[in-house]
Amino acid sequence: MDRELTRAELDELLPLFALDALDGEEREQVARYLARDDDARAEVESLREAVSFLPPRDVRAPASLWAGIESALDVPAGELTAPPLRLVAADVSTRPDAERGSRRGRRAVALLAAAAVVLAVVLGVQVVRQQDRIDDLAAEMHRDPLEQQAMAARGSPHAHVIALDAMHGVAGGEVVMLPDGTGYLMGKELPALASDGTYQLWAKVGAGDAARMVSLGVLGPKPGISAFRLTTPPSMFEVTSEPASGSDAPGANVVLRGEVA
Amino acid sequence: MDADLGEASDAALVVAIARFREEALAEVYRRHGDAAFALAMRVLRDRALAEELVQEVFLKLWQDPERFDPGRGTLRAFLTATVHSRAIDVVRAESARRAREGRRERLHPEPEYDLEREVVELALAEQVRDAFDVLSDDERRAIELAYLDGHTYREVAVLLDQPEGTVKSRIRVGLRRLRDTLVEAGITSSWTES
Repeated sequence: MDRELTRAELDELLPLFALDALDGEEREQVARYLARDDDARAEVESLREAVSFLPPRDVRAPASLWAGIESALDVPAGELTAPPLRLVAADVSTRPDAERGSRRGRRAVALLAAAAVVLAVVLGVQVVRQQDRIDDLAAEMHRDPLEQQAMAARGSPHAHVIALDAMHGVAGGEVVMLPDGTGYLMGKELPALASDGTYQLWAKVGAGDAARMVSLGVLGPKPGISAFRLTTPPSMFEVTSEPASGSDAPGANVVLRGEVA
Repeated sequence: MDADLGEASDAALVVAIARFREEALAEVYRRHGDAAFALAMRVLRDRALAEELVQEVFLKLWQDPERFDPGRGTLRAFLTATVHSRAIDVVRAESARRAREGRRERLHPEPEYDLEREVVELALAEQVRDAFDVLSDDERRAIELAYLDGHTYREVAVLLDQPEGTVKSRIRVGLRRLRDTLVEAGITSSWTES
C-alpha cells in the first residue's frame, strides 16, 4: 500500500482489525488510527467484546495449565487449592445426631464435639483472616476508578515510587510512575487550602543548564489522587501552594518535595 | 472466599492482582481460563502451544495488571483479544503455518464448524445462539475463517473464492450486527457488570 487510507476507509477496516484479520501496512495504519482516535478504539473494543463469545464452549482447560501458571507466580503460593471454608463448616453441622447413639457412640460424639470445637477455633481464625481480605477487596471495589488505577499502578512490580517529604509539617505523599510515563500523585493527606489557593505539582526535568521545572497540573485546594503524564525522566517532584489560577513557575511555598533516585 | 471473589468486578480483581493476591488471579482464571484455552486451541490446533500461550497471557496479567483498563472493556474481552492476537502471531509465522497445515490434514481433514456450538457459558447459550442467528451463512463462514482459523481477510477471500471487497463487507456487516444484537440482548453488558 503506497498511500494513507482515508478516515472512512480506516473505519471500514475496524471490524477486520478486531478479528486480527489485517496484516501489513493496513494493520499498521489502523493501529496508528486507534492510537489517536478514542471513538475508533471504543468501536474495536466493543467488537472484541462480541467475538469473545466465539471460542468453543466444549473445551476445558487442562488442570496442568493452572498448575503451570501457579508454579510460575513470583510470590509464594497461597491456599488456592484448599477447599472453600463453607464446606468445612457444612461437615461440622451435618454430624450424626449424637443424642441417639450408644455409649460408644456418645464417646465418639464427644470426640467429634471436641474435634468440632478445635475445628471451630481454626475455622474462626480462618474466617477472620478471610474477612480481612474480603474487607480489603470490598474497599477496593468502592474506590473511584482513578484511585483503582492508582492503586493498581502502586502495586505493579514495574512502578517507581518516589517519596515526597513534607516541608512544613504536613503529611508527606508519594508519586507513582509507570514505565509508559503515566504517573499518580498520592497526596490525599494534604490540608485544605483557602478557596483562593491551590496546590500545584511540578517536575524537574533536564540536566545542567537545561534543567527546568514543568507544571504537571493544578490540583485544587483539597487534592485527592491526581494522574499525570510525563515522558521526560524527572529528577525531582515538588508540590507547591499557589494562587487559585496556578502559576507558570513554582513559588517559594514548597509543601512536598522528593528527589528521584 | 470463592463466593465473595465470584461477585467481585473485573476492576476489583485486577486491583487485587496488582497487590499480588493469587486468589484473585485464580478467580480470573476460573472465569476465563476455559475460554482462553479453547480459543488458543481452536486457532493453534496444538495443545502444548495453546497451554504455553495461555499461561503466558495469565502471567502477563499477573506481572502487568495495569495493561487492563476497565474503562475500555471487560476482562474477558481483554484476555481473549490478547490470546487471539498472540495466537495469530504464531500461526502466521511461516514455519508454524506449514506445521499447522500438516496437522490439519492429518487430524482435521475438513472441519465442520458449527458456530452455534461455539458460544460460552451455558446459562447464556440460548441467548447467544439467538444472537448468532442474525448472521447469514456467508457472514458466519467469513468470520469463523478469519477469527477462529486465523486467516487474513485476503486469505479468506481466496479460500471462499470471493472478491476481497465482498469478504470485507460480510465480516464488517456481520460482526457489527452481531455486536448490536448481543448488546440489545444485554449479554455483553451483563459481562461488564461481572
